[in-house]
Amino acid sequence: MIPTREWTKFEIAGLEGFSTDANFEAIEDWTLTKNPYLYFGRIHEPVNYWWYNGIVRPSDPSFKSQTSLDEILDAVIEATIGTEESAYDWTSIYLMTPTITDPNAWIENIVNGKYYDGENEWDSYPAPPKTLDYHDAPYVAAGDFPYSLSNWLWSYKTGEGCWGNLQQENLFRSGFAFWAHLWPPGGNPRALFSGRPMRLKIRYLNAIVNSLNRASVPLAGGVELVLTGLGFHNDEDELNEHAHPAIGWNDSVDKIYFEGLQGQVNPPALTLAAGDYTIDSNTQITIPAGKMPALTAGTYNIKLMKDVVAGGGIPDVYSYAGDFHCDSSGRIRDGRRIELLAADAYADEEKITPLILTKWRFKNKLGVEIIQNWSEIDICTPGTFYDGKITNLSSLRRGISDNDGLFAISDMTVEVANGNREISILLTTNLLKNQLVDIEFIWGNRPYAARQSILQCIVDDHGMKGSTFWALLKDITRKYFQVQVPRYLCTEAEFSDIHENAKGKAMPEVLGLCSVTTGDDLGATEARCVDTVNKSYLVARGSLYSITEVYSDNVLMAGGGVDYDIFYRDGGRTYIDFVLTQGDKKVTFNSAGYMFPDWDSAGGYVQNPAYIIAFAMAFLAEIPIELIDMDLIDALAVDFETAGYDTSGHLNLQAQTTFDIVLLELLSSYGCKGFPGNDGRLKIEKKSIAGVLSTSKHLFDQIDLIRPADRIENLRSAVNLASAIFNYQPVPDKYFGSYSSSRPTSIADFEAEIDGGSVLQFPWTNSENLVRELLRDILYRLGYGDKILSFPISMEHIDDYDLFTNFKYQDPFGPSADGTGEVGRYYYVMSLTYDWRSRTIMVEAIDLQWLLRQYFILGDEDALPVNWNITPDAQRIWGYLCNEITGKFADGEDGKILITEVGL
Amino acid sequence: MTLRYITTNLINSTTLPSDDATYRTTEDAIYKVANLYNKRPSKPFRFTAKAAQWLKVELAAATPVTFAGIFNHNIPSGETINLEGANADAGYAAVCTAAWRNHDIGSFFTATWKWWKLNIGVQVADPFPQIGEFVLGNYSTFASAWVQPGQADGPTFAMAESQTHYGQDWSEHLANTQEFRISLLNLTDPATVDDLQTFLTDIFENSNGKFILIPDHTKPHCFYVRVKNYKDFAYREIYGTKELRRWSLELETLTRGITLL
Repeated sequence: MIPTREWTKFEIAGLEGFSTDANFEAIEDWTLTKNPYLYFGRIHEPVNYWWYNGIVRPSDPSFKSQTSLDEILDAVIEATIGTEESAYDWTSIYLMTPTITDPNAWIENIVNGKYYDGENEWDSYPAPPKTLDYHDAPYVAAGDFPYSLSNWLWSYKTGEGCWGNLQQENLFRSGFAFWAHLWPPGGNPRALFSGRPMRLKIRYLNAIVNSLNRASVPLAGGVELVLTGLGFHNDEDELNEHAHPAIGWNDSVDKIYFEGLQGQVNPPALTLAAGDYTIDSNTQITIPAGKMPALTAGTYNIKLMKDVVAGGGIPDVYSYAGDFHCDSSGRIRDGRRIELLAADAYADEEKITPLILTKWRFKNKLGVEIIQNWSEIDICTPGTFYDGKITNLSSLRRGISDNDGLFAISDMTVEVANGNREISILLTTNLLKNQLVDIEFIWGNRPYAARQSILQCIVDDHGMKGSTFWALLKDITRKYFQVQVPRYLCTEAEFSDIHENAKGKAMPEVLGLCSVTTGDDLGATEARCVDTVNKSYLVARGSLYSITEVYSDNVLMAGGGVDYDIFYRDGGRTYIDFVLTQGDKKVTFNSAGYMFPDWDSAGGYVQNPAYIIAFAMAFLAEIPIELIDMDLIDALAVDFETAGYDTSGHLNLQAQTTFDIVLLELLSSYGCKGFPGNDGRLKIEKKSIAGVLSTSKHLFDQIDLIRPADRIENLRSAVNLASAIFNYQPVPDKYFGSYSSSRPTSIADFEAEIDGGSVLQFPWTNSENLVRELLRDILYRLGYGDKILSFPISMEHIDDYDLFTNFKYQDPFGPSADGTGEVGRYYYVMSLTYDWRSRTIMVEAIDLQWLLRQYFILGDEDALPVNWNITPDAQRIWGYLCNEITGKFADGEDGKILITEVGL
Repeated sequence: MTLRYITTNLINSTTLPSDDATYRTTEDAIYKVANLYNKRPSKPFRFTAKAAQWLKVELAAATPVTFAGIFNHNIPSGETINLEGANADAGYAAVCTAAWRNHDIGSFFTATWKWWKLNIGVQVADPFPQIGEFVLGNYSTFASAWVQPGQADGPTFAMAESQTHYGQDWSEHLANTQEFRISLLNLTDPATVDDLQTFLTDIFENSNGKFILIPDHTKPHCFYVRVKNYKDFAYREIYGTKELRRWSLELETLTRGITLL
């Protein structure tokens, strides 16, 4: 695995070329075009040649060369490609990294329409043949559409070196250029494509350090320091995966530097050659105690250097520990530079003086930001001064709804001293509404780099009262979740011959299998008649995997050009073009939805519930993928697949609604919870047994709780009878599945059936088994009330408890037969309310009995060896299953018997 | 023993400008020299080198000075701190060498110079030198007021108190200051201006109630304080042609803030 960064949002432009000699070397051969979607191809006619190149560049500001992430290995662009017209010749699709030198900031200034002067701006367009050999160039045949393109920029090219690395300046400045190469040449070949860039991935040579095994070292050194991350010694085969030909890379961390931040004299670099450390794996480096140098008191950055050899062209590769993080799949996200503290009188567990840090952004009309950092006391840090002008912070609650799975974050009010009128002056020329505010926390005896994020907010409102400025903050996800999805409408401005019935209607977004073949309303989704002249219907904003049936006023139509044909054009949108006009008839269809190769189920399109959620967030709501914890999504997808639900999800959106409603429906349909974690990323999880029993967190009533806990049974919330409907399709506006279940013991004990008052809706799954599981969990959880524990603890626990954290709770007054209370009952955190004034955290937690009761636990499943044969004798006190016929274990030892403990 | 105070700092943006190599050896991009005279010790100036660092102050003309102080510094014990003076930016003569104290250091002397140079040298193992406030001025005393004994002073700690119902303590230290309650008696007569009233008016109108306090000039303690009470300072105890007034001042040192590595 090699550190990889991903982008999913792009800016798109195009180059339109016309030449009579197929040379295209002259400036005047080209015109810049501003395309709403990726468009490229060629038309060759005798004497006249038209070339169309599509330019794609990630819009996120992170797409640039950055310290610690500045040496590219290779890259891949993924796109869904359709053809613009039926006339099509066999073609290969190429990529280029355009060598555009003037102006450097062309994306901001040109693609957004501020400038639109192709001839002058594009004065150094390269001759395309220069780049032909340096990437994969797949041949695409007429029957391949919609085509999932995955084009790699090669990592190595004979005689050139590391091609991705050599091209990185052009790549960061200008992005990729798509172009088509007609084959075979001759005749009058033509091919015009359009598509949607889905994802750009760049693999980097920089080593990434996620964490150290310790926050501090003694001045004399002499302690082991372990660096954990990725890319410490990349696998040669992986490096050569896109190299032509394979070479030796010598890719390993060759030196480690300690750089003092307070002017210390730095120790000499540790070197691999001298055996100063060992590269245990691609993810771990160990500096043994005997090699850890003595350090002068202060804090240090840790810098790693690789002397990679790739036929020349690659400079030494440097990276600072912590600048970036990698998840378990190698995906890179922003981090925070690690500062190792060298001190003798420091204990990691010592926590003194809790501090709140806030960062505010005032923005003027030109987009220029003025940063303000405020706290409750003046705080000096190495690179930032926090003005101690916050006079009051209201409490902040982060919580998850256990019923619908969506999180809720309270608003927060901040009062700031404005006696010096500094804020008054700022507000005369700057805006604060909807600007980001970071809320962070740190202990006063920790290095600044050890601060942790609590929440990222936006300013919803602000005002003044005398010399006090106040601001009302809301969590940042409102910014993404309040968008309307589908985001795009069918408008007359775009489609001049649109049918009256389609005007202003949403372009459908379809994921998973959406099919209705019986009943009064056939077809799951309604197509939009966007061109009455050409009898063209838009069926989805993206490229559908397949359309299985098309109905016109409930009459099944024949495809393959008989009644209609399917096209993928205008940026990969899916269209049905009819042979005959359908007039005012309602055209509906059944389909298999969007594709995304990494997330597709076995059928070739996205169906796994975890990836349905991810796709909706990344590509429908257009939330930057870096804000989504994809590690958790991948793990959740595996869980769904293991449970047999990998094809059970779908999403069929025809009418605009706010995305938080859609996300809530998705989460409840799959029994998941969604919330922003304290690392700022959106986390989607489903509570499972994993990690519950092995939790090391244990709260003691007498020691940790500021006040005795409220153990609330909430019997009035009890539900022992539940009915659900599932598998919704919008055209018939109907749920196609239903299921009911009950808790007989609860019904008997309460002598009443309690149904909770409404039918549960799981619109976006077609799996009755999944719905059965969801109802089971709900009835287990609520059969005897939703058992909630709430209590305040000191803010000293802030590092240890986040939403969804499992813990054990010791309660001397907990129910127990012998009156000794409960030593450790399992709970997970449902909400955290930070009271900044009292420096306490109110915790609400859910009793995990509903989950644990589903398991027969033989010992500690997280700690025990997986079978008897490899279990040491001391651990054989726990239960293992033996051969039911012989009554013996595999090694011949006698099996165990189940007896009653009573009387033992 | 005498209570002394300083209300006017001769150092300002004219006499010690930012971003000018004439006046300092090094200067942090965030912690500028302007922070040396912002009446806010918690927002400091910071050098970006260690050995042989200095600051220079250029007064308009040769000016007598009787007090120099640095507040909320981080200079370790045993390191160089001395003040020199000259009438041109050369040939500096020694004025005083400060006896090191933690956080705040003040020295009394009598010297008249135009140029003043504060020398600081620290070792490689030390942090970059940092000073919250640098004060050059002239001390004053109350001509007709006497400090009365029996008043409280000492550190005050801001704490977030938390305790479990079993008594387990989770209290958190937030910050600490030094507080003083000073009682002064003075004999006034209508013919003289009350120097206490003049003092209070001066520090509130010009410094938001902040000034430098030396409770006992024979002791090394000096404090950058603010007056916490805003009214009811004085009560008349004896009336007549010469009345006796008892003044009460509640003082609190300015916060030192937090410094994170």
